Amino acid sequence: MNQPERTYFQLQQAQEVAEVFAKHNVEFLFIGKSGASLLSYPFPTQKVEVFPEKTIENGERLVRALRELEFEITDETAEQIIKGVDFVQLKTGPFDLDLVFAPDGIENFAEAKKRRIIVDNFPVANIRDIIASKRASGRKKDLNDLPLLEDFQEEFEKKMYGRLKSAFEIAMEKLEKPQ
Amino acid sequence: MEDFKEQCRRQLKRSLAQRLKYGFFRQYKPVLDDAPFRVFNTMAEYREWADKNLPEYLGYKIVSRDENEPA
Repeated sequence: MNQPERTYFQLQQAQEVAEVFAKHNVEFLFIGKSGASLLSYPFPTQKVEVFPEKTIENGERLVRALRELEFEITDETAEQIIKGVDFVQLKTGPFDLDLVFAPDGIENFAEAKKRRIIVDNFPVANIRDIIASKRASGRKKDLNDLPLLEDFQEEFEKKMYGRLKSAFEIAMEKLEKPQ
Repeated sequence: MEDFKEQCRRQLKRSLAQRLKYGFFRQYKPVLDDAPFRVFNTMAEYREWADKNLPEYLGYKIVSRDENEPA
């Protein structure tokens, strides 16, 4: 099989991933620094990391979607994805892709999905979950990233949710507007 | 760190296309890029493999397993 030319992740590919995953009803979230980049974290990264739901049905849909995106997936690897391994690293497609089925520091897919952030049709794990998984990994490179990710979280949440009210402000509002 | 926060604020104003244009790059990483794919049954196996097999400067070494106590 001819492998597609590998490159860094680009807008067109991001759109294809979102479209093809949606077409096959793949349940997933972007995670890691690639997820943070989608949220606007201003540090570049090499690979795309996704957190798919770990079920047999979702694994089957994921394999179909990845093959449509021109990832070369052997039958053996497909079987492993479907049966539910924790981690798959793929360099056989148009860009580097990590499938992280059980990211450290996140309890499960359903809970992470509740907290997800949608960015232009891209489902992205909450920045707090991205930070939690980096912190729980215990790797030097992830721990080095934490102070910057936490600074980004502060700015991101200010933009997303506005300035958080103090307990005093909330109490005063309740006093002014009794139930 | 204030400079970085300013950088974050500027990035938050950019379009997705602009963010992606400069958000990803490719650079060869020894060992890590030398296999077309790898599959690990557990995250612990993956972390252990990376810790033992990847050059230290790539940063995959485990320095702390305690979530609450960054090294």
